[in-house]
Amino acid sequence: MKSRLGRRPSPALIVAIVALVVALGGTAIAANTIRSGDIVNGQVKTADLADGAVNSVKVQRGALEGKDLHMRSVGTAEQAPVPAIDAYMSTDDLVPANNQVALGGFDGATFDTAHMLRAGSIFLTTPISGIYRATLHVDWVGQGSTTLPAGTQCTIQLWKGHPRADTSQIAATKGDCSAGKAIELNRSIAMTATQGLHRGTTLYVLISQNSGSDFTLDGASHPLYLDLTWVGPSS
Amino acid sequence: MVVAVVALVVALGGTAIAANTIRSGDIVNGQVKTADLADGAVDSAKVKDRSLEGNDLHRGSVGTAEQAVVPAIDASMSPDFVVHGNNQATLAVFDGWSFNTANMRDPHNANFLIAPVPGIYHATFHVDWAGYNGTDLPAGTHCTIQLLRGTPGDYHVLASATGDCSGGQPMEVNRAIKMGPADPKTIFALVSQSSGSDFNFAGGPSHPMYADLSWVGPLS
Repeated sequence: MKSRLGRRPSPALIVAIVALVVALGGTAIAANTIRSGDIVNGQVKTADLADGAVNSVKVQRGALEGKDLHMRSVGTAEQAPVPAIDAYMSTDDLVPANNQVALGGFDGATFDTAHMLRAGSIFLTTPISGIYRATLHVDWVGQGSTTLPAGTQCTIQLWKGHPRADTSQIAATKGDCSAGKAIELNRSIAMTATQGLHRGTTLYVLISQNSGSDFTLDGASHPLYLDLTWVGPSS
Repeated sequence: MVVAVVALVVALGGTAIAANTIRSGDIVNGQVKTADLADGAVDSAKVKDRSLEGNDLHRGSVGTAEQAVVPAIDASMSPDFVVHGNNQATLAVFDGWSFNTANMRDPHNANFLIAPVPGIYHATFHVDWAGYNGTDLPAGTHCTIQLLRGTPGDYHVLASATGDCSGGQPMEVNRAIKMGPADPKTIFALVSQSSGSDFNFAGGPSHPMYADLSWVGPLS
């Protein structure tokens, strides 16, 4: 009589043993079948993430905050351009005698990051609300290097809005402008995009001089310029 | 035999994962990849504080909309104001402002402005020497304007200018100033004039005196 061990295993036993081995071998998870619902909330941890796995699309829009960033890590390379312009006047500008105001228009810019000087316009437009740093400068030098006589006082003014509507003075100064002296005004100004005409707020310049004669600024030397630089939001 | 075959099929089929049972330890490190993450899955709470760096950000992506408010003020003087003669220094008064983003006026003392955080500030102090009823200072008068940190009893001069202030001449100082973490936070201004008589500023809407402060950046 053959022993039980010496008998050839039945096909059923072989299949059963294979099934047992497969089952004991651990979770045979088919590739690419785990879904979010299979994962316990909060269990995908830093170590589970592949390097560089989180890109912009995976980040909830507007969700990241300043505290997520490493201190002092946002440098010049990450900053987008801010609205800034160095606008100048290159055409001759007649400033009438006896303190009659003249409009100081702009027709050129050495840089203009946000289309603040539009074609055909002599005004500047601030594209977004915020605080801007403004410098208004006038060199009182006329055609043929003429200058204003001793004792002449000049005024330079920065206004927002439009000369014929919805306008208010932002800053002004006056001083001795004889003998080619320059007058400059530096001021931080708050601009709101809802004021004024068009999309933003328009800015313009008025200048005057109190001598008894008209005086024409020499446009070729760019005697009048206005610098505007967005500094930050106002609220 | 039938039972054995069924057992094998079930074992080979795998995938009988109960919902919500996979844990971090079940996942091979680094195997959750970009494609596995849902769009917008990562929010601020999931990012470790102070872990992202500039090079994690797209170049040129931090624009005006992302920038937080920085401390800035345009403070001005509106009351009538007397500056005594013979170079006696007088404390400037800042009782008004066109904007003030960070409570930078001392609520108890109109002579002081406050720099709320350390850093570099751009400062402008401007005085139009235009007097009451159109009066000006006489020819030859010199004036001094100063911006100082601290208090009148313990101060450091931040910026100063002296010049001809006769005939309504304005004076202005523009300077980048340092406000260190150990420095006093208060800033004040002094003005003086060399004529032999007191000089009366006309306050009101003309605002002959103003001080602008704008935070530019950290010290280090």
